[in-house]
Amino acid sequence: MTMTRRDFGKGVLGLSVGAAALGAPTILRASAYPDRAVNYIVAYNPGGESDVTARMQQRYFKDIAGQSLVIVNKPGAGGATAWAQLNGFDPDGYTIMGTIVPHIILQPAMKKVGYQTDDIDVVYFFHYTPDAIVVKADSPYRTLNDLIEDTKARPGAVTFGGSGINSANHLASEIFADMTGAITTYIPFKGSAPTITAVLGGQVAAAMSYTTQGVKAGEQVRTLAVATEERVSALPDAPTFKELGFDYVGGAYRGVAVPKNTPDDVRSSLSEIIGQINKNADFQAQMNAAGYQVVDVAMPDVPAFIEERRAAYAPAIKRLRDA
Amino acid sequence: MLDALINAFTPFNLALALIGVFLGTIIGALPGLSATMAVAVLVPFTFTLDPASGLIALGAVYTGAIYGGAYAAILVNTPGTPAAIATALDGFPMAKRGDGDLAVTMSCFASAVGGVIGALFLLVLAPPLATIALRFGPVEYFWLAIFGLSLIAVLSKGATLKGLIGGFIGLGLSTIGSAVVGGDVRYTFDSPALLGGIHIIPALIGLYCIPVLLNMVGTRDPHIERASAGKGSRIGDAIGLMWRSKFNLIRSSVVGTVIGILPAAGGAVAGLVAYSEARRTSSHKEDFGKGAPDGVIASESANSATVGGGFVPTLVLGIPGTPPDAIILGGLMVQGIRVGPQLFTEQASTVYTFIFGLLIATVIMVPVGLLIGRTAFKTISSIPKSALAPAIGALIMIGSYAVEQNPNHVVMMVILGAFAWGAARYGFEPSPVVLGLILGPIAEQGFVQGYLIGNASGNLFAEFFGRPISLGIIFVIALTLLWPLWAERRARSKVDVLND
Amino acid sequence: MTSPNHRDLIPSAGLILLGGYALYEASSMSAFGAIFPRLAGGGMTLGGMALAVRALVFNAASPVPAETLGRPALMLATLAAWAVALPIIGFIPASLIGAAAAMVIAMNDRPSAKELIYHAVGLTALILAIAGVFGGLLNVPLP
Repeated sequence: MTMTRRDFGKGVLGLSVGAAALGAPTILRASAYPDRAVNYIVAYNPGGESDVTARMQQRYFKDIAGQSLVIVNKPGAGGATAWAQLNGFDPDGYTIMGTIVPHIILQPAMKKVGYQTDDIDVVYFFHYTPDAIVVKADSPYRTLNDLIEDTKARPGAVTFGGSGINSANHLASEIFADMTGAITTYIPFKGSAPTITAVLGGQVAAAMSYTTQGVKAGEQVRTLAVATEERVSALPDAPTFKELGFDYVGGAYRGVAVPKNTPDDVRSSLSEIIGQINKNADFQAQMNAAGYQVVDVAMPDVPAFIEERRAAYAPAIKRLRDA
Repeated sequence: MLDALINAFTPFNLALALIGVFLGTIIGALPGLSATMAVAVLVPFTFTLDPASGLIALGAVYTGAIYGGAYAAILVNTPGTPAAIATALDGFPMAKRGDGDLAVTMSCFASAVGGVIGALFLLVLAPPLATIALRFGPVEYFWLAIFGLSLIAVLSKGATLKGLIGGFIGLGLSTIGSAVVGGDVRYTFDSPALLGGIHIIPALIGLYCIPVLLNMVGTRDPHIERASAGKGSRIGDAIGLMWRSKFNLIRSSVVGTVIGILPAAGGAVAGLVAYSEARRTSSHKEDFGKGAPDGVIASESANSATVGGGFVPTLVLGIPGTPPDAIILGGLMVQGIRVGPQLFTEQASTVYTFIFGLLIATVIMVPVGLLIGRTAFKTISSIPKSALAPAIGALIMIGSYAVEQNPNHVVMMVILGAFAWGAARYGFEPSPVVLGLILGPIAEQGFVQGYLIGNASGNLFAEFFGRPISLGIIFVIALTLLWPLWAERRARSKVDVLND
Repeated sequence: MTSPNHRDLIPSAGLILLGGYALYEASSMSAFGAIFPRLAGGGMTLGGMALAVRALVFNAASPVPAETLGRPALMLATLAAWAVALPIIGFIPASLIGAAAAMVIAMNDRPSAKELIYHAVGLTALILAIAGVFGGLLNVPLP
């Protein structure tokens, strides 16, 4: 039987519908990121600042994006192990990684860590832990001034504990030294917890740490100053550096990065989602209560932000390298 | 506190304790899987539980894994955690000569006693004990690490030179990676894989387990002898031995608790010190290293006591006492529990429920442990090597990978294993290397930090030699090193008198 | 082959080489960072030399171990290949092949067909169980 034109038309229609049906899921998938669970790699052990904030985001991610966020801890080399592996993952947006500035600027500048700052494609910086100077509750230093006075009287005798060497804490103590002229001796520890313990045990005179540590240690410590624009709600008695006359705002800025060459629409979607999490009032309350300061550096602003930070750290980095 | 006790007895929490201990023991008993790994993979599950229950679950798994680790140490010469190293020293020889079931049973009871003592200390004395941990500054840690390293010399009697060399090799290995102090990147051949240094768990597995595996295929002999005495798990024998050794048992438990309190150094040093003390005061020291039950008793009670002891700095100071504590700590922080002395006052019910749960888990250990221990012993001594070897192979592959989900660790494990096997053929034991690997960073950090602090205060000498706790440790080091010489001289002079 | 008297010369040579390398690398490190590497390198070098002296002068023999060399070496190669293959072909395939190889190497006598099947089934079950428990239940991302 020969095909009538009608049959032919039906055939073509059927074929096209079939083809469209086959192709449709791909089209839908491309515009509906995420359509399955996303792996969120945290470059540190559970319980640290990066991990805790990631888990706080986890809850709201599910509500906003409709998919789960699976947190995977890949600690090592102060974060460098994970960051060096970032670009080895598929650039499809289903593997994202937490990153930290100044770490990703400092580490490659100081030694061979397997990645360069420009290799890390950050789509959003969503909070920072402000630097804070912390002393024992019964320390003779009642104000920051007391500490600075003491360093002038005995240069180099005042010991400043901090986490790591050539790290954020170390950098902050260098910046502090530049700013105030205080000559201190930096004592590196393997993490924030041992640092605070050393302060509590009287092994070091003070610690250059974060507000979150000050909050955690509660009554046992006195926070002499915090590096924020305004007082931190969780530490109402701690003056800001600005109040004390030093223009210092900064800390560790944490953000989310994707592998290089991730498509732009995926990057925007991710940036959008994180931005929305940041706007959630409950999320903000949770973060603030623990001492984290929510910030919004969305995808378009990221490159400028990193440049600005690089410039801010440059003199201290140079000092550390020449030391 | 009473309602915390009642809380711990809720069916849900009891079930958690039971399941936790059961799972933990099995995981710990499997060679290649470690307590750290067990806790690491189970932590995410506890996030959905309420804090006390989550803690109980983790604590039970941890306790079970430490017990179970003894089985792996005894039956396959693979300590599951650094704390079990000393158990393997005498446990494996016992297994090889047919006393494996006795060793397993004894370790079960000794662990129970040690665990209970550790948990009791935690219950009653945690905050004051924590202040001791606070007094331990960098210098004290330095001397403590030196003490641990000096134990290498003492314990390798008979092969002292090779033991010392092993220690130095371990020390060298510990320097690989980025230095905490100094910022140098050392011995990494520019490879990012080595930047983090050598991770202790894959190293432990590689250095101990792989040579065993390789030797297994090298001979026709069965891996370990089947039970020489009749059936039953020789409970009677075990209890008899323990009663005769009761002073050793109590002392080792206390030592384990106290040293377990010191963050980071805890597990490995505790087991070692208890073991070396037991040997020093024993009337038949030559048996140690060849299958002395006292050695197993000392080591096992000490390392179970470190579970309780290790929680002291973890809960009160927020610094982990042992590697699994680090993971548990992370889990706690995620739950929003703020650690610190206030934990015992503000959130007392959570903490005390947890400690009681830990005690319960420790007691549940006895029947569970005996059961699993007997099964483990029967299984390992009866499975033909052609099945045992590949099974262990698979387990060590996953065991070294799963701790940090890093395939490089697996390769590291094999490389170290190859080295250990080769070295063993020339008379080098793995224990000194492992000790060097663990204690090296502690010694180094302590030294550099102490030096910097001492320098800042202008009085370097006082910093290292003027602090009371440090002096105490230095005294013990001198005692440990000189005692054998003095005892030998005394024995010799006695013989001389007899000969006149 | 070295005679039993001088077996210790091999590790001694190795130690001196390694120790020397460690010291050499340490010379380019910062003052603090070099302390322990120097200590380790120095210890290894001195230890190696002491070992050599002892072997040559005192003829202290370390016994030749009883185990043969061939099969362990093969096993080692298997383990190495297994470890390297893990991230490349995945846990299950690598383990199945690795376990099979290990099984063959560990066999002492010719197995019967029944034994072989028991082994194969048991090991496969074990490997799948591990993969299932870790990958599925515990959310550990397996290669």
